Amino acid sequence: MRGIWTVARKELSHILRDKVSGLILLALPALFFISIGFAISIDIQRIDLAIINTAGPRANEVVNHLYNTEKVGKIVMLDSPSEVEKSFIRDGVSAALVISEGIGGYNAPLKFDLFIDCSFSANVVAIKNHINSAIKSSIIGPGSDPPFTIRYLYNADLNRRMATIPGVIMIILIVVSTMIFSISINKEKVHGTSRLLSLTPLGPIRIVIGKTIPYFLISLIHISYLIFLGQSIFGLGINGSFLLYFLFCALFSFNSMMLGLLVGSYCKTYEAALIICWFFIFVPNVFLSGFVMPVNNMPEAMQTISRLVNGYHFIEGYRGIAYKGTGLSENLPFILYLSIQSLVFLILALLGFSRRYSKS
Amino acid sequence: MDRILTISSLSKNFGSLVAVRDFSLILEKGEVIGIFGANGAGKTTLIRMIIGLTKPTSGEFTIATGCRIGYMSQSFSLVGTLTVMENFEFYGALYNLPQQEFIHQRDRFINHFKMEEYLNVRTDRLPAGRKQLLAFSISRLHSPTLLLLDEPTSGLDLLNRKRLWEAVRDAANEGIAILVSTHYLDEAFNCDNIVMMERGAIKAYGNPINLAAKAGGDLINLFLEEGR
Amino acid sequence: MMKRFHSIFKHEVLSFVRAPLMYILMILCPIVVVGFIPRTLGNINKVRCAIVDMDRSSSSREITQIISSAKDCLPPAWCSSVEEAMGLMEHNSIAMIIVIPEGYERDLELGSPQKMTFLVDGARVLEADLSASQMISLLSGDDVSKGIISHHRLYNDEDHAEEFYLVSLISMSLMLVAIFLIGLSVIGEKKNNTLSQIIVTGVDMRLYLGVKVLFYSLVVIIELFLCLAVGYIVYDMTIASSLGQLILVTYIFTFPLLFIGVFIASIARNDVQAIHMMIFLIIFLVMLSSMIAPLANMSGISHYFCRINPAYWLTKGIRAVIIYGFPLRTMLPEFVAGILLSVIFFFSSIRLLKRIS
Repeated sequence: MRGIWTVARKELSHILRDKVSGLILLALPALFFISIGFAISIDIQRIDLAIINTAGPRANEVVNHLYNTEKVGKIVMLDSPSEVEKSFIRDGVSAALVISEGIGGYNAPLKFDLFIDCSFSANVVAIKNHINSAIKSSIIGPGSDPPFTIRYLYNADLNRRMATIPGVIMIILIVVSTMIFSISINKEKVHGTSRLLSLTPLGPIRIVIGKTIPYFLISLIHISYLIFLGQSIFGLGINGSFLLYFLFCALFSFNSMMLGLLVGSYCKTYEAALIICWFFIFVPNVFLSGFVMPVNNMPEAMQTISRLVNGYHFIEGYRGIAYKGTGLSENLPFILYLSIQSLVFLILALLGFSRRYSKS
Repeated sequence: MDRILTISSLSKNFGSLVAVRDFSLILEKGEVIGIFGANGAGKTTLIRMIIGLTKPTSGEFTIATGCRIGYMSQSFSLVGTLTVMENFEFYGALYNLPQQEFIHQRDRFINHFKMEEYLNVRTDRLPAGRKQLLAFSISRLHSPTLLLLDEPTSGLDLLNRKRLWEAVRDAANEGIAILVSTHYLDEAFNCDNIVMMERGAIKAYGNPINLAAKAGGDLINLFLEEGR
Repeated sequence: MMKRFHSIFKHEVLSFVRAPLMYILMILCPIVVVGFIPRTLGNINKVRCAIVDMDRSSSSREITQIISSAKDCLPPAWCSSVEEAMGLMEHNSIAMIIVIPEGYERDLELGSPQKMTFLVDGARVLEADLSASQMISLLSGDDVSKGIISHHRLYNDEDHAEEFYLVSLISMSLMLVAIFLIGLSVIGEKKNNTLSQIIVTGVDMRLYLGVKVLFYSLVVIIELFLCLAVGYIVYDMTIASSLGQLILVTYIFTFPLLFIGVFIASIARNDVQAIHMMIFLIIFLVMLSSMIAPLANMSGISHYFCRINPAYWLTKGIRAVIIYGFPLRTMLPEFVAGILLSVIFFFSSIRLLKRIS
């Protein structure tokens, strides 16, 4: 125990004495959480619209309705349809609406041609539906009663942050627990201190435990204040068991650390560790975990690959525990997967350590 | 004799840590002054101030007009991924040497230090002794009038240390003023004068033979004395 | 000066060519980031739903038929009760429950129809919102809009979901290569103390740094070609505007990123610190750059951060050329800002590099 504690203390003092790295490690994730939590949203916040009204005063009511529609931001009135594409360039609009007289005389219904910037597919449906609804409600009039009611379970106000916060937490834990930890592990090899450690009676397992403890404690600190920030800034509480939530996040953090340990123990240089962490861990976790794109909408083959990524299990478990209030049994598959994966990473990493420490 | 370097009450503080304290020295043409001291005595900081990599906190130093400075750092400062020949070419171009002069200097050092078989070897794969000789050659490539060598013999075996000091003496004989920092007291007798530094200040200065006589026959006694 | 220029450039080429990690980085970027990741993007909005038909009438069957045969819906699950359907939702098998109440057809015939209830999994916000919108469009009858509202798709006729992300990922690859490669190069020179020796030679640091940045800007252009090749081979990606414009816009907007890489390597006291800073900076730049989602999807103050983010300018520029075919003069403000930022970081880096201690 003394040996483990000595290694842990050395690691902790190293983190704290390098003030810049310490600041990056402890404070930056909070800043990241707040800024990215506000910034990133997969659904469209505002629809900037260009309108060309060739139908004259008849269309004024529709145009006014659009001005007052919630999601519609800036409206640019254009003189002719030929300016539509220019408006996409010049004004940065997401869609352009051409209102014209319908065929069949003055009393024929107005015709609407909606030109949508489809470069970001996820926004297309939202733009279509919002503009469609605005037009229809201005034509049908107020008080129109659709034949259904919609209730959003677990998220009555449809708080958009629910979509991004699990992903942001996942990114923070991966960066701290995987990337930074792998560089810390790799540092021993680069600086040659691993040779010195190999001469001590500690052995690779105790060295690994000693090095893991400080980073694990730091990640627990992050988890704690992210809960607080999530609640106070974004209004996202924990609907399920707080203890289960905390332990689940800690499990993911541990899983990420074991992955970082694996990378750090086999890479020879920082650069190699950085490249592997970035391309094979960070980028796949961002895109395949369900943060950017719902996993269920991916092609079948990609869904299988996605389910191998640890971030996927974290986000699914997070949503279940934090938002749906589900318990251990519903989230057992994710917990088991992360646990088994952690064990596999740990065993592979220890093999690498044993080989390195016995050779040196 | 010509004064190449004049240092007057030079000091350097890093926060509350005084790295160099009130250091004064005159270095003349063809003179070799060795700076001795334990780790943390301020030797490297002094040399870095003279080169211009660190700004002094107070004091001043003057270098003779038209003086060219050569420098060899503790870590050799070679480009590891380049071969020996490529390092010569790289630094030769950075020093802006005319082609003929560069070829003459390069070939001179290659022959002198017998580097022919290593010309196409990457410097990160060279043994330490070879790296040191290469670094010394590069510091002399542009025919400097002042040479600053920061622990040039650190980590070398006896034979290579002897070789390097022979090269240092040759350089001095050509009229180059040389300031060398080292921990090895036995190298003191290769110098014309030595400076003993302790905690950033000069503890002793003078001819090594005279100093050794004053210290009871062994220069180590100068370190072991309390105060200056 | 030309001799020094040539020597410094040659030194960069040789150092680059002899470092295998550089190749790995340059090859991994297009293959993993551009080649593989967009494959993960499928069709958006396949609604996963369960139907609880408590009425079991011909009217309710009509509705369930519409849902079952809709191309935007996956085959629905049939549940006998809401509780059963909720169980599926808790296990993430469905995102929506459509409940047709008992007596639906009877009340419809009486002229006061009961409402169906859509219970949507609000924990999956994006899917929830889109699923609800899809279902509303599907079941709302659309009599008013049929023939009155026409939709025209611009810039992505065939709804290639990966088009947006392909450009984003190309931009991300270029940004990673720019910041990492030059940052690691400068860190290496600081660590080996080569920089001290270079400063002593009397070479102008502006020249030295300028040549270094120039070399790595060319490396970024090579990387651009690799990414375009992968994009073309795997996704049939084409450029709406011209290749020349794409090279120009990439070239110009790469400089601020390269100088940022040098700046970080300059301010860091050691290599580990530099790597930590690069990691966080790159993540911030990526997230606030419209690579993950367009500017229109960002809220409030993040818009302003986005607009001063060089990664955003790079992404916007590449998107303008590849997807939209916009003329480059529309990006004049960004060009000016890019030059200004490059100059600031350039001179700051020189001052910092000279102050090595």
